Amino acid sequence: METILAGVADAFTLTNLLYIALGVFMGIMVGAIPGLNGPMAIAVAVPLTYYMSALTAIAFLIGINKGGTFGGSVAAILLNTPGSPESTSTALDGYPLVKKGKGLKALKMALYASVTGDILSDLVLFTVAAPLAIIALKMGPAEMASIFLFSLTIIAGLSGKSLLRGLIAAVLGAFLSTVGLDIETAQPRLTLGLNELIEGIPIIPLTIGLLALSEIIIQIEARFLKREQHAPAQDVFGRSIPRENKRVSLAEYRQCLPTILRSAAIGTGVGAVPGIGAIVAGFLGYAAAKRAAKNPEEFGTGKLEGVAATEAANSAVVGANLIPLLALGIPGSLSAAILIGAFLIHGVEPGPLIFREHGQLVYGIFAAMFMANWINFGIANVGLRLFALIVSLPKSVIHPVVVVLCIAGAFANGNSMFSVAVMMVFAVIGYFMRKLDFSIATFIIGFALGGTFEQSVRQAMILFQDRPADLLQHPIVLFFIALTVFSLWRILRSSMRSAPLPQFEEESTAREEKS
Amino acid sequence: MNTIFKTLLKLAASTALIVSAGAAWAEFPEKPITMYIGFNPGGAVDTTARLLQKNLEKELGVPVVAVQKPGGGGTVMATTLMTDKPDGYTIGMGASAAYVLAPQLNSDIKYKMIDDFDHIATVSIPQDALVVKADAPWNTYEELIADAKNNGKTLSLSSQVSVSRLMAIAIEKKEGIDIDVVPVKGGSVGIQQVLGGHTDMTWGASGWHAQVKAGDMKPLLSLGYERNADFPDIPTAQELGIDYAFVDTFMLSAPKGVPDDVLNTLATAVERALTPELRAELQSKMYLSADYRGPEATDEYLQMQFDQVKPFIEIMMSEDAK
Repeated sequence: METILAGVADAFTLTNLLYIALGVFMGIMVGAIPGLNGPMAIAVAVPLTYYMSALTAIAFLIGINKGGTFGGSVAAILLNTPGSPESTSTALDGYPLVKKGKGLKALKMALYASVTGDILSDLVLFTVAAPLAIIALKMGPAEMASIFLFSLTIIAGLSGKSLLRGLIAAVLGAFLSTVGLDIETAQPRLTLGLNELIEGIPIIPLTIGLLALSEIIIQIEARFLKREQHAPAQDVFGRSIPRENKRVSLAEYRQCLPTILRSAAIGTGVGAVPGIGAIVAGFLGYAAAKRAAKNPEEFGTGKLEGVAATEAANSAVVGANLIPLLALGIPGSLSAAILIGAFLIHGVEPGPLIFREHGQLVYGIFAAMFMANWINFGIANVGLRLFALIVSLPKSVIHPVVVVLCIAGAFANGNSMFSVAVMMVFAVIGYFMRKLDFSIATFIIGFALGGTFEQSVRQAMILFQDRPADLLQHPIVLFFIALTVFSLWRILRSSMRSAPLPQFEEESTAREEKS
Repeated sequence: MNTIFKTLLKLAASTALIVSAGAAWAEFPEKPITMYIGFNPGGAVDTTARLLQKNLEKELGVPVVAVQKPGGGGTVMATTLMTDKPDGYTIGMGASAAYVLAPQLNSDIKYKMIDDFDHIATVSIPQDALVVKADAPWNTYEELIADAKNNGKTLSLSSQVSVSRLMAIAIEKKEGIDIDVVPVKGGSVGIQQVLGGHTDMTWGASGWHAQVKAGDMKPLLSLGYERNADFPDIPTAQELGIDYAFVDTFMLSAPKGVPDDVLNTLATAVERALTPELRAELQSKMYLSADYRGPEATDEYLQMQFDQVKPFIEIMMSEDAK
């Protein structure tokens, strides 16, 4: 108890406050820019923390992480281009809301959901870090494989109007994730003889190309072919917009609260399991909200719950991610992986020992995280106008700027022109996927899950090939396989009952702009 | 137009000549040195590089700029370094596995261990161990093998890198037991699998020390040429009659063709940079032991490592070809 109080006292200094504020501000800015995301900002900021104390350094970086996760939603809502991959499904309802003139409402809902998700997840981290770590430890290769399998069926359920095309996109994504060294034999696969591909296709340029640049290409094309639809002015702050469209009323927040709580729980659960990141959490949260809704067809047309569902889930991952990180030293996500580096620089090794050896620091970090949530809330509320400024600019300004940022963002990934080339290739692939109505989001999730899915399946194969019956003694595996079967059955039933599933807004927008 | 162009070209050529001649006369180093780091920030190689960087700047009197080039266990860095100018102003911190093992295992890697690089020095070595869960029934390597033999058990090993897969082959060959090698990405995943009871053992260069200290894991065996400094009770594989040893040594290299005096200046600077304080910091922070060798000794060391692992690599390749 003394350690906890001492740690909390450590956190409340002006220096920490200022650095957290700086981090949150940087995070939102960077997150809001399509193609740049939180992990990238953290990676760039780690060298800045060499001369800070361990607590200030980690608090600063976590501030960036929290800000970045919310920042991603700003671009997703206003530009229909996720600032970072985990906000992909925020755009599904966020952008239609903007078209209805309720952009500011969507942004604020995203913020409230984000901060609520953050706080709830942090509370879980503070209270159950140790017990949950023990559960995470029980996740062996077979368990992981079954969880991934279940996740894949959920994604298929999320895909566009054609389940088959969604599956094809997911499988193609998973297939591309096999590029790179075979983990068993250390042989390069499908690298085309390029050394740069030994580690696989880098996900950041891939995502930037598919999500951001290809969208810009479609938009530019529409512009040149004069197919551009004159959308209503997207000034979300304008005086002509009724006040109620610029704020989230208490009643609306309450209405979304069950969704937020459900998503926060999903995000926390996903975050606590190593290997499944915020991207999956966002989609799972969205899918769960859609499934629980009375009128699921309203999702994707500008439903406030859709924004809240994704944002609460992906923000909840940030706190929960630290559960396996602190308790086991295992990063649950890209940003947590970078945080490990920051811990080590300051001579702190995340792992079972951390609570014993650096208890004061850990509780200091917890307190700082709580501060960061409120600072995030404050800065985002005050600065929304600034962060949303990009959108009031004409497209002739946005397009070149986003293209440059896409290139810079890709280049920042390993400082190499190769990443830029990868982004270009995937921009073209994304262009055709949009034209041919294949879900880009499904593809990316297939890609993100594919690598770890393959690993856990192969690990499980090696462990159980001689004794498959042993799998019956793994209740978690059986549970998730049952869930997978159930989920498949539901998808099949609903697709037979009502042929077209509700489709992705990004695709329908693309079509609208074409027509 | 053409003549102007030719004149300009001549001018440029002569300027270049003067400049390069000037460079040859000047004392190395006279401008900042770029040091690639072949691994991600925060890891053992990176920590070694960052600590060394500060002292190297003092020794050489010029800034040493660290540039991260992670990927493929140092192979991405080595591939880049190979094509850089061999003037001593571009050097790279990597690990010996990238030079000794990677070109053997991966036909896409075009560089050769010694022909394509001027290795400046070896710097430090990690303290490795084969570890099992603390409540596992085996307290020594012998007990582990005896259990597998007597009860016909197949052991399972979470293996992150080829170093430990080759170790499994060496043990299988010597003891006549079977080991399932479960490939994992990242040493921490291996530790998690062992702690969760999913596999019997894992081998790690780093990351296991904290688990052992916390009483969650037991070390059984080291693949070092000597015993670990901090854990001297763990026998080495060679002591136990296993014909296999490999230490992934962190080392500084340059592209082939660096002038001898420049190479020696750099090597001497590294030797001096490894001050007692720095050695102590490496040991306490990351369980790394300083292990300096000059350019020639480094080449010999790599050759020795190569000869030692070659037979096991051949077995591994023929297994994979099946």
